[in-house]
Amino acid sequence: MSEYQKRIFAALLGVLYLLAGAATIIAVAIPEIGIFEVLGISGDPAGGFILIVIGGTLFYGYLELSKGIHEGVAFLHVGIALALVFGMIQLLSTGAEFATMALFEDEAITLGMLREEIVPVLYLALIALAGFIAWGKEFSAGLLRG
Amino acid sequence: MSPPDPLPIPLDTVITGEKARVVSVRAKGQLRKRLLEMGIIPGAIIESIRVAPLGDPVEFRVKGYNLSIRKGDASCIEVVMEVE
Amino acid sequence: MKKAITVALAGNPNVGKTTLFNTLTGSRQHVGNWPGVTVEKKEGIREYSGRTIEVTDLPGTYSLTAYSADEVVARNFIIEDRPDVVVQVVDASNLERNLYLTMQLAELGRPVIIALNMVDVAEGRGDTIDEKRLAELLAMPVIRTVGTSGEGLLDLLDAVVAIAAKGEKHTHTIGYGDDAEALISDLVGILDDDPDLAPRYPLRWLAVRLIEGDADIRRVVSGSSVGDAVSARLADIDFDEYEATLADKRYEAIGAILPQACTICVRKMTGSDMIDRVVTNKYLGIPIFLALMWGAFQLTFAVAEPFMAGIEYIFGWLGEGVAASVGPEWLASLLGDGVIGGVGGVLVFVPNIFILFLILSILEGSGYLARGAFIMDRLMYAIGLPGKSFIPMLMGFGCNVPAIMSTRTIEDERDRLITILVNPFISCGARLPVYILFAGVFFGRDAGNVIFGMYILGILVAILSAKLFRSTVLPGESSPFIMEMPPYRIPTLKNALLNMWEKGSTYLKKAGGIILIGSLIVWFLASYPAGVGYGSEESFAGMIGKFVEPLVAPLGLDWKIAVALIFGFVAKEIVVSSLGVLYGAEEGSAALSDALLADPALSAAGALAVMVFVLLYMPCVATLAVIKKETGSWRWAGFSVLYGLVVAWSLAFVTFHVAGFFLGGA
Repeated sequence: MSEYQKRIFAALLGVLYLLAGAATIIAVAIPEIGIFEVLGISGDPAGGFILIVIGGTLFYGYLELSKGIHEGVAFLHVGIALALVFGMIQLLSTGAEFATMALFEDEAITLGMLREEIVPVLYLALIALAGFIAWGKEFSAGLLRG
Repeated sequence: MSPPDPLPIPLDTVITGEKARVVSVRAKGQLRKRLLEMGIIPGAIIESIRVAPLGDPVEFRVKGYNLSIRKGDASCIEVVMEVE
Repeated sequence: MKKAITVALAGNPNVGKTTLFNTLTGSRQHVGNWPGVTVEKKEGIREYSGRTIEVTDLPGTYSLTAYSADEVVARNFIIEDRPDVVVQVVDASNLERNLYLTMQLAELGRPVIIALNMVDVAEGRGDTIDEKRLAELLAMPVIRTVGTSGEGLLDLLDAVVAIAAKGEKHTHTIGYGDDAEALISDLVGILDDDPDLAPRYPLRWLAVRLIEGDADIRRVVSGSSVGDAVSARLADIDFDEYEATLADKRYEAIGAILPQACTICVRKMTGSDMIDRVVTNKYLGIPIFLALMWGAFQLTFAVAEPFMAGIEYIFGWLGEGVAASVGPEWLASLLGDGVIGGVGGVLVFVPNIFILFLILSILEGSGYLARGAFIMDRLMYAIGLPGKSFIPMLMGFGCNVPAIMSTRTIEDERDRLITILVNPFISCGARLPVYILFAGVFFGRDAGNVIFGMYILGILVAILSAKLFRSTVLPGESSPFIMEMPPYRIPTLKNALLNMWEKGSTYLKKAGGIILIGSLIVWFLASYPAGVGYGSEESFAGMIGKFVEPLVAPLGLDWKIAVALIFGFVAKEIVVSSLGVLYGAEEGSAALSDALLADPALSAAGALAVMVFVLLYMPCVATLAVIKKETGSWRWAGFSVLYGLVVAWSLAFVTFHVAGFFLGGA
């Protein structure tokens, strides 16, 4: 039962990351697609690559679990960990940027600027966080066993 | 005495997941010292567990821990396959 | 007050030695270098039951055969400094390999105590260890410790005090078989005839090292009065054979002890194996590694931004304050342009360095760094470097200073030296403003491609130089890549922070002075003789510029650029502001662009030559300071400057003439 849930979770989140990553790369060439702005997607090859790596890892987990390879669950765990790590990096970078602006460049931080920072790597990480809350204990327990 | 050993093969030809027993370490100098102190001594059981994405180096398990060695260096180690 | 007890902390890499050292000594520790080598020396003090205990953290080693600087340091410390007690930290989850070092330590004659670390990990996976039985079999105290929580620490200290009070030598050694033992006792007999050797070395150990073909020890013995007799006895010996026999006997002894004291659970698939299936996966391994490296890079440089801005702000404010309030103009200039500019130049990198070391120590502590090296080794081997060189190369795109400091993770001294020497060719962030200025002015729409080309050129020069160094000044194969893949662990924040603080503050102490002096020299050259405008044609800098003009003329450059390049030694972005001064234009304004474009001495081909020259010519003063510190000598720092100048001049010359042929202007 639990493995079935993990499989579905890996597939869904993996596809979301892959789509977001593809869109982020497409946006480099064609920036003026309406829905991109709503979703906070702007052209960024490196950022798109990161999203695709996270999505690829999760989806690989789905493929292995579907084939009945129990160890595929490791791809889910590592995928979730990557999603959280990069969400955190994004959060810290944004925080640092705003801190620099507010403290040393006398720029006011507007709501619009905050809105611009709501990007896929951040909000998708929230979904990953749900996965971490559900299965994180089992993951770190497995780690400590050596 | 056990039956005569089969012909030794170099360690880098051992397939992932298979176990082998070290027969001799033909390396010289620094490489030899390093291999010996890391537990790759004649008689040791060594298992090939993983190959790096670019095909080299290879990760082995020996004496209960994991060790990665380049194929070029592993070819100096002669082993015989261990049948389970 | 009784004499202090000296303790040497030994052990394999990755056994939690540093954690134990930190909990043992708290904040009372200091870092230095071992005399003559760049291996770090950490010492700390602990007061316990009325005694002062001085702990020296030896470098982590697998054995004491002494083929790397780390091992020589560890061995010499135990033999020459004669610590009262040697504490070996042992990873209980990897006993067999760890006890190999124990067998060698026992031969050195000092009392040994085993700190059995990570028992929780071992038992968590089903092993059982009877440490009392183990202590009996090894004939040395065995104390359970958990480095992170401090469990067992007091027991360990009790054992240290008790054994130091007894002051006995450790005499229990293993037998190496009849053949080797006969040879050893012969040699001990010969060695005993020299009255100088016995007080300095345990003779049995000397004999063992001799038959294992230890070149260092052979030299020591050859210089003694019994040198000839020893050589005669060793004349027809197969050292390789004995080396294997002795290693075999040590493992045999371990193999005899272990089953009596513990049961090791045979594992099929561990948690670490599960993670490794993902991160070294054929398709995902490299992308995940690149993504994580991008993340590390992003964190290092993005998160440091507010701190750097803060430091710049403070120094800007200080500079203005000095300019406004200090009387004599020369003093204001010395303090403002020289001291504050110079110190500011150092401190502005500090946030980068601290954050980088925090990330590196988390990556290393978690065990991922070893996987990174495993994944990248094939690629780096192709250019003659080990896998671990990849991270310094990548960091170089941000700043060469932390990049060069991160070469500490490379064990082999030659590999490390090559990685350090080629690093300045990786185009750091400070060079970008120069490219933006010149490419923007002279190449308009193609500026992006030109700048990208500079980065590629830097990488190519680094790769070719690595190959060149490997085949000339630092000959030999790239060292064998035999690396332990430690199980993954969750790194502790406390250790990561301590590690960061230690390395960051060492950089400040060591490099700060050199950078300050470098800045002062440049300030002096720009300000004197008295009465000239700062950096003007009449200043020493201007004179040097004029003097070297014939040298840069073949590159299509005039004295103004030469002066800017001299200033660029302090920090490469200063090239731009210096040009502003020299062309009498405000930095960042359109006026400088126009002035450059209008200068008849400068062509598009010349602009390319400037960019190539700035990319390659020499490390900035901060980088130079760190090269000096990390290589331990001015020789390599000087070499790096000379080599850089030669390469930069040659390539700028070629660039100018080839580009001149296509673009006109040469």
